Amino acid sequence: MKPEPNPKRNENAEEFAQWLEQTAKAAPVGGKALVVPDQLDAVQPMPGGWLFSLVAAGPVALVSAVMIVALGTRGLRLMTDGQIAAFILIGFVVLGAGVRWFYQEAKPGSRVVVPGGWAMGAVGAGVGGFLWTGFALRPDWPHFVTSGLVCLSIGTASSIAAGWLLARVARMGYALDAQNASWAAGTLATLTGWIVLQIYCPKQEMAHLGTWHSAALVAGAATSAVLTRRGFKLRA
Amino acid sequence: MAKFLFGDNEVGVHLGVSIQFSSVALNPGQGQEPADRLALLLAAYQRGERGGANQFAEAVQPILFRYFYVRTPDRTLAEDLSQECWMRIHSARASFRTGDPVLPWVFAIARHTRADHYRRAGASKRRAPESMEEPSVDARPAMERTLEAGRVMERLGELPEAQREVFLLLKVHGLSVDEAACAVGISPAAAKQKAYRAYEQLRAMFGRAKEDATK
Repeated sequence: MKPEPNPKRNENAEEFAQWLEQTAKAAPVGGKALVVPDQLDAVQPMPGGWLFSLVAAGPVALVSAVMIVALGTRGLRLMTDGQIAAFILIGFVVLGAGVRWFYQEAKPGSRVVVPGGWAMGAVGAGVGGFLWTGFALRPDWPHFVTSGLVCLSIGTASSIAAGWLLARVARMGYALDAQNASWAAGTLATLTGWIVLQIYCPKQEMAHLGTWHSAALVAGAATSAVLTRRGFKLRA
Repeated sequence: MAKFLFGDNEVGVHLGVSIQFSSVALNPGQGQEPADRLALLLAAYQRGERGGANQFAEAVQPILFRYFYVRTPDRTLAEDLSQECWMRIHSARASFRTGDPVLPWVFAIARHTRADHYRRAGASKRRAPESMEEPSVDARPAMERTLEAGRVMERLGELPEAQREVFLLLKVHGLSVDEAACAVGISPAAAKQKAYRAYEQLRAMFGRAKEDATK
């Protein structure tokens, strides 16, 4: 049975709202004088959402391109058409989520379209889901660790390079929360490592991808986040 | 090094441009600038125009002070936080885009200024003030309301931080749900949910208080 509505409830709420409005607005205005600094330089407003997104995707594209030119595209040639299509689709989605999160952290008061947790979840789910697009389980055990360590190094190094550039892009805006901003930069940067490894790595099999490429993803995100945090902290 | 200082003495020293505020109580409805005007003034501030910067500061300072004062009913602390916030606004002024709403941008910076202050002070949670500050001479007509504000603030202090923040932005600062969400850094749906929960808890608190008073 539904309880009877309590007429006092609305009365209390209304009374409270009135009090709050009156008292809050009656708060004295503070400060007698505010001094504007003598150095009042003109500043360039940060680019809008779309332009900033393109600029933020720049380091990922640039580092990926340099690494792929240097290392080759053996991994890409081993993938089926379906896997390549899934790679491109997932790449765009996770890159979009990462860029949006990065923008939100760089611009105070921006509309939250992709909460940070969602962006990280999208990267994890996208990269994890990509493993299930038909890669065979044929581990090359004799070289499992050595080849894995090569991928881990390449992936992490690519992420760090992209993270370093992203920290500079972030200076166009103003990161209020150094921790969140560095994680956003780290998440976006680590996609560089994933893209490079997926295109370069000749060991396109599940055990290698699941272990070493995933490890490179985590290591790249964490390292980039830690390294970029210092830069954000100095500004925040 | 840029400095934002309060107090008449510093005006001539640090240069240049000063903005005078009188310590009067704001009347309801007063102190709210049209959003378009604030955006234009902030754009002028970005271009390095002193007049625009001055007028922007003049228009935003009461709003900013009220933001801190409502959350920190300690005049000195509210002034210190306003001052620190102005330093950040100055550093962050390039991050505002013409056409965007100004107040969510300002409140987002203010929110982090306050949060960083308490983080630095080692307080993991906002502590409720023990008592309201003695009202100033100019504010004496509002004394009764100020004392009542203490009771209201006590109740508000019992709300979780995130709910209190959304509630105050909506009900005290007059932001829309979308703007409050931007200022707090959450989605509009989450802001609505937090506001709803705050209303529910406050209704329950005030209902209990009233019942206790009538017993």
